[in-house]
Amino acid sequence: MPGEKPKEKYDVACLGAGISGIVAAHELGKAGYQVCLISKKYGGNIADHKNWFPDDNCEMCKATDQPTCLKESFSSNNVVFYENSTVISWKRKSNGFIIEVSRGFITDDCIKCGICVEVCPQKAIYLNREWDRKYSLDKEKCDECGRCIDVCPKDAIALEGTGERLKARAIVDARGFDLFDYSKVKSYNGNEKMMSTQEFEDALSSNSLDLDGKKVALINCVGCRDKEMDYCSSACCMISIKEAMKAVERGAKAKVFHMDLRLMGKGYQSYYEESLKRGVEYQRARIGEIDGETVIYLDSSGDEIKEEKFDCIVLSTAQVVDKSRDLDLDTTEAEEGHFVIGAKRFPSDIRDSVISSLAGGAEVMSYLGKAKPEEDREGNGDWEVVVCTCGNTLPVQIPGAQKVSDLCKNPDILKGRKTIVAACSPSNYASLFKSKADKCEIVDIRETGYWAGAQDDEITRRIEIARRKLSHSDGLYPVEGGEGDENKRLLIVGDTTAGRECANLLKQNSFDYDLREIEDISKVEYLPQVRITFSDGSSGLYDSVFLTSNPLLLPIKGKDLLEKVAEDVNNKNVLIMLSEQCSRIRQYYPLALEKAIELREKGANVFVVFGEVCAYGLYERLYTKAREMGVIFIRSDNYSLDEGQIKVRDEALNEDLVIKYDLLLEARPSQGKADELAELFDLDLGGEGFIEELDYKFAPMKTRRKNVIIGGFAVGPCNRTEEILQGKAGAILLVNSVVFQETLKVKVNERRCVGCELCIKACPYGARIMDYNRKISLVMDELCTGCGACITACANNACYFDDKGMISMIDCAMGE
Amino acid sequence: MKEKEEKEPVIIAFICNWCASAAADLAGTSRMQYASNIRPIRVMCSGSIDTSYMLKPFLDGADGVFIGGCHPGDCHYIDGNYKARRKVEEVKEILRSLGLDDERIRLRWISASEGKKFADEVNAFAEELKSKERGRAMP
Amino acid sequence: MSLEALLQKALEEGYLLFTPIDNGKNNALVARGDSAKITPIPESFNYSAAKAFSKITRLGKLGNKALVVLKPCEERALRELVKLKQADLENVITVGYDCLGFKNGEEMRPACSTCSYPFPLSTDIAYIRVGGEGIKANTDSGKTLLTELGFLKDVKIDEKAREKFLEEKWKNRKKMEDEFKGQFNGYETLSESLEDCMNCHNCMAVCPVCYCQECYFDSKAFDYEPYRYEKAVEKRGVLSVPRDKFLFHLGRLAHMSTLCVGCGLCEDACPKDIELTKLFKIVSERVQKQFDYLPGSDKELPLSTYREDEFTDLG
Repeated sequence: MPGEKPKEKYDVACLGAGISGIVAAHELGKAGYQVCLISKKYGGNIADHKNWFPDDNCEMCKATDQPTCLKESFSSNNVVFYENSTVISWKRKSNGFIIEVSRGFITDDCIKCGICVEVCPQKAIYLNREWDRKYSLDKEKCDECGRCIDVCPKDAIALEGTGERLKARAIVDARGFDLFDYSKVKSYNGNEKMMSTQEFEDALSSNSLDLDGKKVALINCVGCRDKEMDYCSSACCMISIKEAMKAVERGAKAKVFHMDLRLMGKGYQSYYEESLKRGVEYQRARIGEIDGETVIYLDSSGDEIKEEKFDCIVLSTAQVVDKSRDLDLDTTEAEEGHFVIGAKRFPSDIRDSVISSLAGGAEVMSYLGKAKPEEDREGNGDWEVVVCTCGNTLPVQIPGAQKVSDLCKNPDILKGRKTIVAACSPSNYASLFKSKADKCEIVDIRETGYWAGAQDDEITRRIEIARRKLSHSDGLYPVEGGEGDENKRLLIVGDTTAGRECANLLKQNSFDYDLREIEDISKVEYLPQVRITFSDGSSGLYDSVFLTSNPLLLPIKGKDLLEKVAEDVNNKNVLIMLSEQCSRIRQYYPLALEKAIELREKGANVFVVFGEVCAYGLYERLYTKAREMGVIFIRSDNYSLDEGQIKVRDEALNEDLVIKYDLLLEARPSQGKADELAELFDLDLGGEGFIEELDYKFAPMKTRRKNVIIGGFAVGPCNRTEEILQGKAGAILLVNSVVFQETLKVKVNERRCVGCELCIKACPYGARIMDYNRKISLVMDELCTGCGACITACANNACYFDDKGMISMIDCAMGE
Repeated sequence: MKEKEEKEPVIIAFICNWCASAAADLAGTSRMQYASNIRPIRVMCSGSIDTSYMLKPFLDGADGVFIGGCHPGDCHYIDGNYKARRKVEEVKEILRSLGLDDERIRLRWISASEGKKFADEVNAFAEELKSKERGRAMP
Repeated sequence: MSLEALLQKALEEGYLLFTPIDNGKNNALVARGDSAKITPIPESFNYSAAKAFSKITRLGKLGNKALVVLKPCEERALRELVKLKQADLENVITVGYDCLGFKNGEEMRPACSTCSYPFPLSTDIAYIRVGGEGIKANTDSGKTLLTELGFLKDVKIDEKAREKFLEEKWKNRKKMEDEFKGQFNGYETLSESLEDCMNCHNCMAVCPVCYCQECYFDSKAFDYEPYRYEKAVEKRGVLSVPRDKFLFHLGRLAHMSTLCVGCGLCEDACPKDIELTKLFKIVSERVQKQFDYLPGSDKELPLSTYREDEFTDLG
C-alpha cells in the first residue's frame, strides 16, 4: 500500500529499482516480508525505452500486481520505496546488514506545493514515482543556486543530502549495469553521426532524426568480446536487429555489422528472418576503425578491406560487467544473505533479468524462512473499523463501524488507533491517514470512480478481506476450499530439472506440494482451484500448479555432447558439431565449450563446426579459453558429414577442408513439446511448440490463469543453469499465486442472466463459468481481474460492477 | 427545447486506467495545458465501455465523446482494446447512418509515456468541436 | 406434392411439427394432424417463429425429432438465437420456403416489400415457389427425410426468374433508403420521427433477436433519485419524462444492430405506427456490412471477436 512508513529494520533491502529490483521487491513484499527498495533512478536502464521486442508492445504493467501503470508509479504491499536515494555503503553485522543510504535531497516534510519546481532554472526537481508523490531532486542537474531552499515553506530541501541508516536481514543487489562509453574506443573517432542504440531510440521517438532514404550502420559488440572485456552483453544482438527494423520502417537502409548473431531465445530466429524479409542487411565483420562517416571492415572473403559510407552510425554498446563475477551461476546467492540478481548477476535482457529476480526472491525466502508476522498479525479483534461517507453522500450502515463524514478533513480522529479505514482511493489519502494512525489498513471503496462500495454488502466484504489479510500469519490468504476433496495447495507437474528444483525449495520452506508426471493426469478442471483427476482414478484439489516438461529431442548421428567420454582421446581427432540454430541447442552452451576444453586438456585435437558460437554472457570466457588452447573453430553451414570424415567449407578460409575424425560429438537439437500440457490445462500454444506466457519479457512464466505457472522447456529454450533458476522462480510464483489480489469484482444478477455465454467468451482469464443447471453464468472471484470485458459483452447488464454505475457517472460528468 | 447555453463544447472522456490514465497524469504533472472542457471518467479498460454508454452523452447534449485506451497489443487485459475498436466502429456507423456527425466520437490509442499526445489530442478535439454546432439534448 | 402433405406425412411417421396454424394467428407445436389447421405458409405474420421456438428449446434440446417451418427471416433469427444459446436445433429438420411477403391490411408490409433475403438461407428442406415449384433438399438430413417420407423429387429452378424477383425487392429497398434519409437523418428529423413513441417497449417484446428476459433499459440503472431529475431540468429548462426515450431506441439499436434480420415485427407491434422497420433495418444492414456479417450465416458474432489488422484508421 502506498504511504508505508519507513522502518528501522527490514527483512530485505533491495538495492536498485530497475525491472529486476521492482519485481524482486514486489514478490518478496507479496510473500509477507518487509522490504525496502532503494533506487537512484526509477526504472533503471529501461526507464527510457520506447521500442520493445518483438512487436513494440509495452507490457510492463503485467510485471507486478499493482493496479496502475508501472512506468508511471510504483506501489507494493510491504515495500517502502526510497526514490532518488543511493546506497553509500553496507556492511555485514551479526545477523544481517547495516546499510548507509543517502536518502535524497528532499525530506519527508515536503507538502508537494510545487513552488520549488517553478523556481528551479535547471528543472532538476521532479515528482516521485512513489504513489503518494513527493518531490525529488536530481543532483546531477542541480547547480546549487539555492532558489528552491529560499521558497520552500517547510524547509524540506537539504542539498547536502539526508543520510539514513537501516538494517536488513538480507540484501538483494539489483543495481544492473552501466552502458559502455563508446568514446573510449579511440579508433572509432567519435563524431555527431555516431550514437549508441539508446541515443538512437531516443532520437527516433522524439522524431528528431529524419531517416528517409538514409543509410544506417549498426555495429555490434562495442565494448565487449575483446581481450580486456572478455564477455558478451547477451542482449545487444537482438537490440540492434530491433533498431535496424525501426530504421527500415522509417525509410532507411540498415546494415548490421556483427561477429556472431546470438539468437538463442524463443522467437529470436523468426524475428531475425522477418528483418531479412524487410530488407535489413547483415555483414559479418568486427569493426576496428570508423573514419568520420566511413566504416572500414574486412569483407567475408577475408581478402578485401572495404569502406562504406553511412549517414548514421549506431553503436550497440555493451553492458559493463563486473569481471570478477563467477561462472557458477545456478544460484543468485553471492555470499550468505547477499543475493545478486538481474543484469548485475549475468549480462541479460529483460526476460532473463526478471527470471533471475524471481529465482533470487525464492532463495531469499529460503534464507529468511517464512515471513515473520508483525506482532499484530495474530488476532484481528482489536482493529477498529472507520467508514467515511464522503460528506454523507454514501448511505452506508455497517454494523460495528464508526461513521465519519469527511475523514480527509479531520484525519486526527485516527490518532493512536489501530484502524481499518474504508474510504476513498488510497492514492489520495493513504499517507495522510497512515501518518496519523497508530496502525492503519486502508480498504478502497471508491475505485475507478465507481462507488463500488455504494452497497453495504460490498463494503462489508472488503472489510472482511482486510481482516483476513491482517490476521493471517504468513501473509498467505487461503482460497475457499472445494467440496469434499482434500485441498492440497500446490502441484508440480513434471519430474524435470525445473520441477525438482521447485520441489526442493518448497520443501525447504515447509510448503505442502505434490509432484506428478503429465502421463498421470487425465482431466483438469478450474473451479477456480485446479481439480486434477489422475489416471488411477484419484483426484486432488490444488490452489496452483507449476507445469514443466522436457524438450523433444531430435535424432543425431554421433554421440550426445552430454555423454561422458570414457575412451582415451590423446592425439585423437574429436569433431564437435554445433551447427544447429542457437535456440535449438541453447542447453549446450556452455557445455560444448567446457567439453572442448576438457578434451583438449586430455590431448585431443578438437574441431568445432558451428553456425554461430552462442557463448553469450560470461560464457564468452570459455570460448576465449578454448581458442587459446588450440581448439579449431570452423564456421560453416556447408558440409557433408560421413562415417569417419567430414568435408566442410570453412567460411573464413573460403576453402574446403576434409577432416577425418575418431569421435563425433553432437549437440542434440530440441524443440518444445508442450502440446499435451497446453491441451490438458487449456493454455495457448505459441510458436516452436512452447506455451504462450502472459508476456515474454515482463511476465515470463506466468499465464492468463492466475493459478497456472509454467517453466523449463514448456516455456522456451534454456540451458541447465537457466532451467534451475526457472525452477526456483517457479517456487516463489507458486507461493505468491495463492495471495488473494483485491480488485474490482464483477457481480451477477442471476435473474437477469439468460445464459447466452457471451461473457464466458469475453473473459480472457477464464474467470466466468456456466452453471448449466440454472442456465446462468457465474464469476470466480479469485480469478476476476476487474477488467469489465464481460460486462460490456452482456446486453442487459446482468453482470456489473455497480448497479447504477456508468449511467450515473455520465450524468454526473454532464453536470446533472 | 430551450436550455442554458453552453459556451464551451462538452467532452465526455472515457480513459482507461492503464496507459491512457498514466498519460493523462503525466500531462497533468508536467503541467501541460489541456482543454478544461474534458470531463474524464476512468474505466478499467477501453473494452469495458458499452455502446450505449458511448451514445448516451450525445443524447444528453454532449458535444463529443473521447475514448482513450492502450495501443493494440498493449492492453493490460490482453485484448480489450480490440473489442473496443469494434464497438466504436459500430457506434460510428450508427451515427453516420442517422445523419449525426461521426467525428464527434473519437478513439485514440495513447501509451503511458505519451503525455503530450494526450494533451494534443484533447486540445485538437476541443478545437474542432468549437467550430461545430453545440450539442443538443434529445427531448 | 404440397408442403401440407409433407408435414402431414411427417406427423404420421412420428415427427413433431412446429408450424403456423390458423392462418398465422399462432405458431404451434403439433403432435397430431387432426388437432389443428396446419397452415405452414400463412396469410398473416403475427409472432416470430424463431422467438416462439426458442421458448421451447431454450433450456435444452428436443427429445423427439421434429420439423420446424420457418420463413427466411425467422430462419436467420433462429440461427442467431442458437449462437446465443437461446435455442437448440438438435433433432430438428428446418423447413423453409420462398417467401412472397405478407400484407398488413391492403398493403404489403414494408419489411417484406424491401426484403433482401426472401429465399431460405440454409434450411434442410426448401419449398421453391419462385422460378419453379416443388420441395427440394438442401442438406443431407433434408435428403434423408424426404426420401424417408417419399417426397424426394428433382425440382427445376429458373435462376433468372429468381434474379428478377430479387431485383424488384432491391428497387423497393432503394426507395426505402431514400425515404429514410428524410426521416431519420439528423437531430431534427430523428426526434420528429420518434416523438410519438409511448415507451410501451412493444418493439423490444416482439423482436426475435432481443433475447434478454429483462431489458437493461428497464432496469434499476435508470431508476433515478428525485434530485437527479431536478438537477437535469435546472440545466436543460425542460425534461420529458420518462427520460431516456431516445436512449432506449438508440441503445437497443446499438445492442442488436449486428443481429437484426429486418423482419419488421417492431413496426407491426408499435401502437403509434412509427416506421421502425426503416430505422432498424437500414441502420442494421449498414452496421453488418462494416463487419462483413450476415445474421443467420455461420460467422461468429461480430462483437465477440476481432481481427488485429482491421479498422486501422480508428485510433
